[in-house]
Order: sequence, then structure tokens, then C-alpha cells
Amino acid sequence: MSIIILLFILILAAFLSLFLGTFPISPVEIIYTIIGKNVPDTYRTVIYDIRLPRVLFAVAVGSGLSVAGASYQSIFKNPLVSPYILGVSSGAAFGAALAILLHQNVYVMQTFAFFFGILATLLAYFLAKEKGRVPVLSLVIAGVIVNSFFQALVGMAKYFADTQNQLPSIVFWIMGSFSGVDWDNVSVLIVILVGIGVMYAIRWYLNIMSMDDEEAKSLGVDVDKFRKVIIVVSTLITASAVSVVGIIGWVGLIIPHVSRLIVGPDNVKVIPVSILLGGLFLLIADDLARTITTGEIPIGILTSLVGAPFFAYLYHLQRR
Amino acid sequence: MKLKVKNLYFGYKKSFKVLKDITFSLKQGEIFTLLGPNGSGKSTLLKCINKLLKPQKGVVFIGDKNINELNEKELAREVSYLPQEHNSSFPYTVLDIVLMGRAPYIGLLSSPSKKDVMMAKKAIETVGMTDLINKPYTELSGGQKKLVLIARALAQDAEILLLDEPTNHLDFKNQYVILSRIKKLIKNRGLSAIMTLHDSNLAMIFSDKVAMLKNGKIIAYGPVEEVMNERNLKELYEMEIEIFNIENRMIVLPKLNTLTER
Repeated sequence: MSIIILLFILILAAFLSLFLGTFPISPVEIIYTIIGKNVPDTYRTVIYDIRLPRVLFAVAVGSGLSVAGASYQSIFKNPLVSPYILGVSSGAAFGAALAILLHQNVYVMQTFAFFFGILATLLAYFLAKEKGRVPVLSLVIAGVIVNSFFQALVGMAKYFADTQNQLPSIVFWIMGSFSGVDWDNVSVLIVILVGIGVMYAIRWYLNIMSMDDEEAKSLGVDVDKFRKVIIVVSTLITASAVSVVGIIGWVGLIIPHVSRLIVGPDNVKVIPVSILLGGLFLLIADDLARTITTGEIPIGILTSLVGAPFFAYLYHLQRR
Repeated sequence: MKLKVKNLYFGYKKSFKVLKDITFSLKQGEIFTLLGPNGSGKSTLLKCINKLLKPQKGVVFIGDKNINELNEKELAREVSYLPQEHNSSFPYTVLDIVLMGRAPYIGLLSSPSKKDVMMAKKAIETVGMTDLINKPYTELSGGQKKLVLIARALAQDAEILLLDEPTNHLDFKNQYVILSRIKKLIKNRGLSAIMTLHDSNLAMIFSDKVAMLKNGKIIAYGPVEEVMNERNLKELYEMEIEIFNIENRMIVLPKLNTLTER
């Protein structure tokens, strides 16, 4: 039931988000544009090539990060884990910084961010691997190592960057933004959506993956293989998202939490609710990011700014 | 024979064997108890039967099938396992936990069907937990948690139950309650069970067969009446032990004065 309501709210919010933006078009003209009446070409460009991809990306990235977070929380058997635990965000940040230092264009930067994000996760994974098994604790430790290593590299990149252009670019990239999103990134959108689809399909098994490894095995689940699949899918989702929009915190951590508060811990319900709630959360956050001020507030800052007090409130509610 | 373990060896390292030349068998409807001091290899043996650990040598047969020929799901349809320590990081309901027992029958891309939910509910009813079906597992007492896990094992619909210390963390009464229920279920349904216990008296009451495990070796194996004697128990635990017959009930007690001497 809550799923149908959420789906309705999400579609409505996505539709209304098309009306928001700095370019002055009246709501009536927007509706004319959508229903295909004769309007200036600029209107079509603004709606279909600027606002629509941005809305779709905000929803997809929010959903993707939330699903990746929920699945990581299951396989790490810990509700306080984020999709960045294995180093994908630090790796991507270094990739982006490196591309900026090398004066590359935005597409090279996205590619670098994507592959360094994947590289960081692979490093963490193989660091944790012992005798064909990948214990959770080893993964957590490997994640800490890889994260701090790539953060140090990002620090170094900042140190060597020229302070006129490169340093601000790196800093702004890390804070995240949807402003650079357009239809050229559609492949990223597809990867995220496919990843979400896979997680949705295996969502019941996430329950079993959140049990002890031996227990899950005795229930007939090939734990190591399953964990590998989940890490691969989550990493693809997260690396794709981060490579285009930068590092957006809190969503992957907080949304699965809120979802569990609403529907309980069963992932059969948590995953769809996370998908819808995550999409909605980031959509609204991005709407705020592009409308509160005449410039843009970095989305990563906004999610934490909204996320932290909201989480504090939920935590307070839960403990009462 | 429902289950046969033949010449099984296991070690975490090559040089040091935790289990040495273990051989025993189990018939349908039998409850088989492994007794032995801490670290004697009881849990390790259970895990070898369940393929959680891989033996260095030896074979385990279920019916006439070598377990190495079964994949995870096939094995889970034959053998269910009650872990020694258990908790959950997430407050799943009793029903959620018991439903996990249906995993061997549910496709990787599917969720439990109505039939699975029905079977889980039936298993919960069997252990008498229907009132608590929607309660978070994490809020249950130790005894209730054990019952839920037993229900999950039943939902798993396997004919062999491996129970790793089913009585640990249970109070005096609950130890008897849980073992009585397990025994009743095994006998009524023609299942078989292997369990590890620390209490010789519980082993005498609730098992058909006993194996005594010391330093990874079986030092005595057979029907309870034959194996549970003072000589064997003394050798097993390296302490003076007396067995009393009180109104036809055999009771194992240590000789107290010999304990303080050490």
C-alpha cells in the first residue's frame, strides 16, 4: 500500500519538478510544451534537454544509491553501512581530480571517475580475499585502507592543482551536482536502472545474506558467490552515479533506514520502498539545490544538511 | 542408513588434525549425541557434515549420495542446521526468520510464495510460537529464539537435523522443554538428528546413540545404555565420575572431592 502511494507521489513530484528552474517559462507554457503545442524551440530545449534529464538522473541516482546502501547493509550485516564503504567514492574522486589535473574534458573526467571508483573497490575486494573466501570483517578493514589511501591521493591532487581553476573544480566535483547532466550520460542512467532491477529481483535473498555466513550457507545459499554479485552490482550503480554527479552523501545510508522504519526490516519491502523514497529524496533535494539561490547549492552539501537533522529526529523518535 | 560418515579427517592446518578417522552412522528416527570436552571437535564435525567445512579425507553419505555431489540447495533440502550462537543485526519478525528456511525451495530471483508462507506458519505453530509470529526476533528470550530456529529447520523440510548445543544459554527448565520438543518432532516425523551436548544427563535422557569425542577421535560409540558408563565418561572428561541409579533413572555426577585436589 505504502508502495503505491509513494510511487504516485514520486511521479507527481517528478512532473512538478519540470516546472522548476531559473529559465523563465510560465507553467501554462510548460504544459503547452509537454502536450506538443506550438512553442519556441528554446522551451523544448529547456524542458526536454535540460530539466527532464536532470529530473530522471536525480530520481535514478537517489534510487540507485539507496538500493546499493540497503544491499550493502545486508551483506555487511550492519545497518550503518553506506555504499561508499569499499572505497568507490574516494577512488572516483581521485579519478576526477586526476582528469582535472591533466586538463581533460568532462567526459574523460567521468570515465576516469568511473574506472577509479571500480578500481578502488576491486582493490578492497582482493585485499580482503583469503583462500577463496571474502569475510565481512576483512572487507570492512580493506575498505578503510583503500578509502584512506585514495583520500590521500585526492589530497595530493589538490595540493598540486593550480588554485585558479583546478582546485575549485576538484572541490566542486567532490561536493556533487546534477548541473552537468544531459542526454549524453544516458548510458549511465541505463546501468543504474539495470542494477536496480537486479537488486529488486534478488531482494528476498538479501534477508538471508544479512544472517551469519555459516547460517546462510546452511540454508542453501552460496554466500561467497552471492556477495560477489551484490558487490559488483552495487559498485556499478554507485560508480556510475558518482562519476556523473560527484559524491552525494547520506542518501545510501539514511534512505534504507527510513524505509525500514516504515515497512520493517524485510527486504522484500525495504528495496522497493528504498527505490521510491531514495528517488523522491534526491529529486526534492535537487529541486532545492537549483531553486533556493540564483546559483546552485552543491547537492552533496544539501543532502547532508537535510539528512543529518532528519536522521537525528528519526533516531530520537525510535528511542522514545 | 540415513547418514554415514566414513574415515573423516579434518584440520584447519595440514599438520594439526582437529578430527581423526571419524566413522559413524545414523538411522532414520535416531537421535545421535556427540559428547566431549570443549575443543574436542564436536562443532567441527557437525560443520563437516553440513559442508560448512571441507574434510581433508573421508566421505559423508546422505542416503546413498556423497554430499560432495550435492549443491548448496540440494544439501539444504536434506540437512538443516541449528547454529550454536545466533543473533540478527536486523529486527526481522519471527515469520521472516522462519521463512528463510524455505530458501532451498525458492529460486534466486523469487520471493516466498503463499505456499512457503503457509509452511512457515505451520512450522511456527508446531513449536507453539503462533502468538509471537509478528514479533521481532531480536526481542525474544533465548528459549524462544531456539524455538524459532527449530521452526525454521522444520520449514526447511530436511530429514536430518544438526543441532549445535541446542541447550546453551537456556535455563534449567527450557533445556528439558526444548529437547523434549525436538525428540517428539524427530520421533513423530521420522527425522534424524545429530546434536552436541555438554550435559551427560541430558544426553542419557534424550539420545538413542552417543559418540564420545576426545581430541578429535571417537573413543566410544554406540547405544546410550552401552556407552554411558563410568569408565568411558571418566576417560572422556578426565575426572572421577559416578553413575547413580535412582528409581531406575541413571544420573551422572562428578566425585566432588577429587575435583578440589587438582
